[in-house]
Amino acid sequence: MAVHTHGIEKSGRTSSEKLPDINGNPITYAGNVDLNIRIMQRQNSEPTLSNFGESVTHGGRTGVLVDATAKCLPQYKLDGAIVWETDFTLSVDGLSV
Amino acid sequence: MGQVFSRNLNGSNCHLSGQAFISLQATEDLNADYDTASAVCLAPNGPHSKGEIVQTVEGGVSTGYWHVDDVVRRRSGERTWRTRCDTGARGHLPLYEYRLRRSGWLAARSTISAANIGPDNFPPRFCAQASYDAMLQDASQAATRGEITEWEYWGIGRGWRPVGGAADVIRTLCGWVGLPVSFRCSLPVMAPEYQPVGTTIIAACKEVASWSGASCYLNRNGTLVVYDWSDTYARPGRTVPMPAAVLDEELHDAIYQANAVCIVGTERYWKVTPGTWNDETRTFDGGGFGWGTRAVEVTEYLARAQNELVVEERIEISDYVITQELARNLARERLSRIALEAGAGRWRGPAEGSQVLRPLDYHAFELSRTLEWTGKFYRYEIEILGPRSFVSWGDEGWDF
Repeated sequence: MAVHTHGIEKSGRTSSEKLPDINGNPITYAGNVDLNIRIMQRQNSEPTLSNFGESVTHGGRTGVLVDATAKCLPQYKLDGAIVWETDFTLSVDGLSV
Repeated sequence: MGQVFSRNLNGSNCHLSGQAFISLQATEDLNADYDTASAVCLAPNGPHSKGEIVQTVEGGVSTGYWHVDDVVRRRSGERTWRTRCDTGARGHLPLYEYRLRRSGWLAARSTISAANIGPDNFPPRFCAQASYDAMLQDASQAATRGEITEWEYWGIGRGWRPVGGAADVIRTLCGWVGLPVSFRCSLPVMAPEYQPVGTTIIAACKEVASWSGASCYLNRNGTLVVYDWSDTYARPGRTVPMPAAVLDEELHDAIYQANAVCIVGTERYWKVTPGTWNDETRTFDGGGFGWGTRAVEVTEYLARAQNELVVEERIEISDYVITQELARNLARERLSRIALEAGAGRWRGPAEGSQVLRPLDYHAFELSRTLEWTGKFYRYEIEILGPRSFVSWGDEGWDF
């Protein structure tokens, strides 16, 4: 089976809020950091989407699989077989990605 | 209408004894036994402990002292895990939720028991000085006739605590548990005998005050104030204060839950029993003077609405003997409350400038203040519940 990674997207998100302080000046705090890596690949066989919520590796990146889609592209062929395009979103722990 | 925000309020002037408020909901209610509040605070130096006396400061103005009733430390990944942006420090916010009750609550809720008032004072048996004198007189006569021994006679005297009036009972009860008390009215009516056991101090004080149409309220300093309910609420010319701007208004005019109150009990009276003429000895046998009891029943009424029939609330007092005056005061106070609460008004508006409002001094039934941090400013509002009319009682009943 041939697999080509043709796209990687990294994203991070958090929230911030001001809370009152006894000194009179509100202090800004940030909430949880939410980091994701999105891996887009094409392969020449139909994939099975599984292992949600588990730590997986796609395109050399490891994280918890939180979202996955697979789409058949019959107009394209790879090594003579129909192309399937997959899109995996991996959640990553930590403060940087 | 919209919500009320204020730029003048911040963590340094809105706090619980040095802990900035995230939110505060305080209710001062004259009908409840105690004022209550719930607060969420940031406490980087640690929480206040249960039972501790703390002070609420709203907009730089003290709104009274409270006992900490319950402390909850809240830790939640979603709600409290934060990174402080100026230092980069990460951790749970020191977020504490408090349930507060008015200062003095611990003493007021304590029960009348040997442990609290001392074994020498337990069980407390109060009686009016006149009743005490009469009781001793009866016992003295019984001792003279040989019906009781001298020891029993002295025992009767020692078992009772004669008082000058109802105020003495309240003063004594509060003194036993260290609760400061002040009187805004006199309490002219005293039941001949009163033995409160197993009840709380505040319940006993309220009961004693109610004989004279009065009630009790723990003020912001934790002092039990005895006040005349009718004088506070039912007088003409007394008005309820308004917020700086009225955003919401509710005016009630409801059918009374009861339009008659009947107080039933027994009263003591000085009884004269005639003797029987004895022809042989040519003297009267038996007879004399002594205390007797007879039934008391007093019913007072409110004016009824169109098509409304009498709905009577019957209160039977069997624990102690009462008087006609006491029964009338009880009935009138109860009816005054029913009448004024059925026609109450509720007003909501900004609370700034209204921190000093207190139910007893400003003739409101209930004051609720809400202080809430919204992310940029505090939202600060007050809700006032108070009477819109007055009740006046004359010799013949309600003057309407």
